[in-house]
Amino acid sequence: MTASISGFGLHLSVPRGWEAVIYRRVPSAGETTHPVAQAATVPIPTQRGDYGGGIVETLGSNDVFVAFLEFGTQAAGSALFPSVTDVPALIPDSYRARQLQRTIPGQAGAQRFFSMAGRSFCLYSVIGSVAARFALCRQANELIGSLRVQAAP
Amino acid sequence: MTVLVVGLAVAVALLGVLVAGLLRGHAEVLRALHELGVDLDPSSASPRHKRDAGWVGVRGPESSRPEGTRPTPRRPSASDVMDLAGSTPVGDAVSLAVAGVGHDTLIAFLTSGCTTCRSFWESFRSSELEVPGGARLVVATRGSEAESPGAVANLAGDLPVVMSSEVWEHYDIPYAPYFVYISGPGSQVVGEGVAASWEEVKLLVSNAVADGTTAPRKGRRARSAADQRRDDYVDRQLRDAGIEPGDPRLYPTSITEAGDRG
Repeated sequence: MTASISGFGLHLSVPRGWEAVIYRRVPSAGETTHPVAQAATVPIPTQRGDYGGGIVETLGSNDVFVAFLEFGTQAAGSALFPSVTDVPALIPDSYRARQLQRTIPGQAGAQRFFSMAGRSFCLYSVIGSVAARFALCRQANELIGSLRVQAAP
Repeated sequence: MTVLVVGLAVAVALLGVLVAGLLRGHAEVLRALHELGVDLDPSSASPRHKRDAGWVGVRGPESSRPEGTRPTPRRPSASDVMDLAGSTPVGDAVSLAVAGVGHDTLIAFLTSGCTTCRSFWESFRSSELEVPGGARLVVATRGSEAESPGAVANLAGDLPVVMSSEVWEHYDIPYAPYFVYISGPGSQVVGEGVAASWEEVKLLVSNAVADGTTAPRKGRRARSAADQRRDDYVDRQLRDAGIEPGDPRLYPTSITEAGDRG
């Protein structure tokens, strides 16, 4: 049974075997925080980093991590965050070891920036094995394609 | 004299009606308990029944289940499991996977108010908590329309908590505290029931796991014989080439590097 979750104007359909969370950190004084959506084929712990710290270390060779990190409305449509109507899919060769926030042997990461519904996002994904990038990229795209974004209020 | 006899007859008749009513009520209670999986008839209780008296849902694979029994009154199949989708006590949207995954999950259905639940919340916050079967422990409470998220957040600490009345209804939870143990690789409930303490839960779950009711190769996907032969062949080829497990050549830092080596 596929689960769906919604929060902060984001909606994800979660394929079987995946888990996901949509959250927004409580801002400290003078700070602004934005929503983050994370999904993985491994358990997502309660203590974790926005870019998957605490999760990617547990990825096996058949596992995938995907995160959408919002950067607010001001950057939407800028050169770095081009406006799109559909979330950009990844290709297997998008994944590079040097795209990782923190290098972990065997893993590879991919990053894309885009704007949807007037909101700017970074898509960040990590796969557990660069050698299995074709199969794992397919899994990642299944999750990525399920993202729906509502316009900011 | 006649009046006395008639009076006694009426009294006996009334007492008879009263006794019949009591017997009927007793039978209804027994039937309700039986439907919940509790059999009070000593002549029909098997050793397994006796051992699992507090863990009414513990049962083996579908094939070994006595015909007609069900995990809970309205859940017809042990494989009728759903992922835990809901919200966290701080308002995040969350979906935790329990089926089709490599790990097992022990779901503790708790409330913020019940006295027995309090001891479980306290036990779960312990950093040295040991979950039998290596399962992941997740607490499920009713949704925010029936539970105070603030109260749950205070009790939960860093525990993974899903607040969802839909999950409670799907698993047909009769009362709290209630525990459901799900085999991730098998995508089915392998044990469920009530316990008064965490030590009791650990014992009962250990029994369920020891009964072989969850996938023995936990954390790994089942592989066919052909796949296993292929793996063994690749391992032999790598060893013949002098590449052992952990060799840095198995972990290229870029696709280009992998291609150069390949």
